[in-house]
Amino acid sequence: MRTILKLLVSLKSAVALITFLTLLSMLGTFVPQNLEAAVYLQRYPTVGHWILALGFDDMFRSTVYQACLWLLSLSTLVCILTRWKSTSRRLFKRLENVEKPEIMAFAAGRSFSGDLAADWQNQYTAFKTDDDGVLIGLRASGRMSLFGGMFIHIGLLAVLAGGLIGVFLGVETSLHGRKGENVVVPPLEALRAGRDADRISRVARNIRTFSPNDPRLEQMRQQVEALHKEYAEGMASPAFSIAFDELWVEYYENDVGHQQGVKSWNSRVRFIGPENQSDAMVIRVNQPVSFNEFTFYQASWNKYYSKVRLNVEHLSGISGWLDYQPAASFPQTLELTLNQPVKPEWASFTFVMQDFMPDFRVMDGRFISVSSELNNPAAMIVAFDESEKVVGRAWAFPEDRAMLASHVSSLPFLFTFVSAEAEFESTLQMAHDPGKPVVWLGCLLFTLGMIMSFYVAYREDWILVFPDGTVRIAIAGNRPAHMLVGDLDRIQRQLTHNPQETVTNE
Amino acid sequence: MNETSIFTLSMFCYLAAFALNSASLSLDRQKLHTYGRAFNWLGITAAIVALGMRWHSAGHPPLSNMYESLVTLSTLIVLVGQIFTASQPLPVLEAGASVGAVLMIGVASVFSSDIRPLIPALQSYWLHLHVSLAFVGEACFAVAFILSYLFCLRRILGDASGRTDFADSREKLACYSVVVGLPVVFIGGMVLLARHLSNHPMYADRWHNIVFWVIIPSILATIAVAVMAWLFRGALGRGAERWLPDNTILDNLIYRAIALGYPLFTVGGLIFGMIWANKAWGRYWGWDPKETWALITFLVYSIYLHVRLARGWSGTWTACLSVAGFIVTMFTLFGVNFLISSLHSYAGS
Repeated sequence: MRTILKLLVSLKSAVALITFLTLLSMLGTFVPQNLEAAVYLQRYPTVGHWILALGFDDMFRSTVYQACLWLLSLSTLVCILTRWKSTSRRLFKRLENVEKPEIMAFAAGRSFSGDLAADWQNQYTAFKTDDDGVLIGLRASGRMSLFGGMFIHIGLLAVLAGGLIGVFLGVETSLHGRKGENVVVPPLEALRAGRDADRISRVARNIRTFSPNDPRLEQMRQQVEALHKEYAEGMASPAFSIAFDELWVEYYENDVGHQQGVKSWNSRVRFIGPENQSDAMVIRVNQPVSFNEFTFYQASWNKYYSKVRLNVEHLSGISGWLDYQPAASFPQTLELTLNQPVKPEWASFTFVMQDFMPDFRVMDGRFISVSSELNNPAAMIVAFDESEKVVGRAWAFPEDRAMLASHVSSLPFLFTFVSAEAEFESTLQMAHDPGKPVVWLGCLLFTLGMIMSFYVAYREDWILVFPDGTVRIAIAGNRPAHMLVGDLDRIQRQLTHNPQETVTNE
Repeated sequence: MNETSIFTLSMFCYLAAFALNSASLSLDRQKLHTYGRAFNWLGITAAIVALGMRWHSAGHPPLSNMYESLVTLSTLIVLVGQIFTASQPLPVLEAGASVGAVLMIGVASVFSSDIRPLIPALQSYWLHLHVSLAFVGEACFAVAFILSYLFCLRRILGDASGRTDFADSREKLACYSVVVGLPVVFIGGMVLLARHLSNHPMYADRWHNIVFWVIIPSILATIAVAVMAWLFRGALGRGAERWLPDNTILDNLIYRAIALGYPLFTVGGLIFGMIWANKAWGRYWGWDPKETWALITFLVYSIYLHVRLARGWSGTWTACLSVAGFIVTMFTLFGVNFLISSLHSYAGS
């Protein structure tokens, strides 16, 4: 026990811990975090299994990292307790505990001989006479500085404690809502169950990658099932719901009225509880709102297009459709909603828009949208016959690129993009963290501690009056000695009222 | 005259200050040092005017992208260097701060100087508090870094007779690694950055600025210094004694710069950052790479303060820690933006 205590008190072990934490943190930023086990094994064939075995795929929640934080907390706590002993001695019993050699050893000190002025004792606040008859005087200022180190360490401990409370009791999740939607929020316990289920599922997936028959998997499955049940029950009897009344985007405009980028994303919401309902509130980035135990933040914003208007022309000479004669004249207009079948009068098929990309690109052989703006729209349309069998596919592009569509179409129609209706989806970050006040208190103490330590000057003015009339003055404190030496002249003059006093010993 | 031209003017002032401070040392003319200080102040004033103009036309402080960060930080480094040497003139430090600022403005020329409106995440008064205070702290770390470099140089050059007093070969190796290794690492890092940027269409017409304004001058300066050091190797010890203060004074100055920068960086970079993150993202800490590297910076300087104040370490090893701290600071500022994607990625544009 004594050895452990010794180890915790030791500054060497504290520095070693901080160094180890620093290295682990660096590693945590270079190794991609929270990916699936298979990805690590594929990306790092030689060390992938080590990354997973040590939990470095989730570095900051790994046992090694958490153990370091716990040890650092313990070391800090022990440091506070041991430090208090020396600090209190310095604060309240400085004069009682001081010995002559200590004062003689201060770098900023000098000895002189001669008579002292009658009122010299006014320069000091406390005196004692030691066994050799030497009168020792002290005046201390900036005592607050002595608390600096304590405050810093208590602050650090509070930040760590607050973080720990947040890890165990806090909840952080995202909510997505479209205009007019009412999104339910389950009670806190259910959200915690959902969070724990996700964590256990992830660990289980990693274990399964290495040993599919691991006996822990069954136990984990049961745990996850129980937690999912709790979450589902919470969703069935929610704590409250959020009504997304209005979602809008404000843009910067230049001098001629052109949009220059997003100024703010705005969600006007109402919180509807079982017994009460809040007023309408606007949530913006940097302007969160609180309701019940949660705070809501505007986290991100999606623009999507579910309704698209197309122009349709008949294309003759398409392979497989040479005999096809439509029963109407063209052009026709077609309005499609994403994934919803539409059967127009002029065709014998049902059309489904399976994908819509507002800013279409082909990258690495994949079709993707590079933004949510209608810069290069493309819609993929699939046609089904009456037996729901796919009869062909087609792409719709804007008019200036419409002919491209005929090369990638297997239907006797040319679809041209006309317009699309933009809709918004707001993503709110919902957070509950009872540890936050403790963290803020810790930050405050840490800041005060730094101010006290680094910006408040602690100073001790000492005088030793020997029985033979020799006087020794010395200054000590938390400033370098060469900065204090300059004051010795002034003190000597004040004590003797004689600027020409002979200095006998520097 | 637009603000980009004024920044260029301030860069030439820093170059002149560097030349005058260096000349004051080699010719032993105090007057040249006075002119050098005056040129540094002129450069700072010009840069502050340009930053003010930019703030006025953008409607927000010049702290929102890489270009603005670099020019603001370069100004702060020279300013902190000037304040630091106000009562204790140290021409080598002033010259070092000027070089640092010139290199930063050179790197800034790679990034777009266009004024863009603030994205929603940056529209907060915490932008002013968080970034500006962190930058002042980082400028203090930069001054500590220059002093640490000078400390290691002083150790290598030894006393007037050129005698060195290394305790062991590890200490010698550490000093040589800092003095010789750092310029090589810096040039290597800049070459990698130029290569990285040349592959990015956004920097297609600007990436070569880093070659002409930073890499080539740095290589030429390093070669010139190496050749001069070889030619005048017999007089280096005497020169060091005259140009650089005693190692104990340098060590104390390093500590003072870190003791000033550490609280500012901790409060501005970490605590204000946590408060802002809590307001914008709903959590005060998310292990985002930028946050984690800010924590790493804090931890490295915490190690420095622990070993210096509680264990009484001083000299080469604490100077090396200060150098390591500044390398980490620079990686936090720039490396994270280019090498690791994070929630702070907008800062890299």
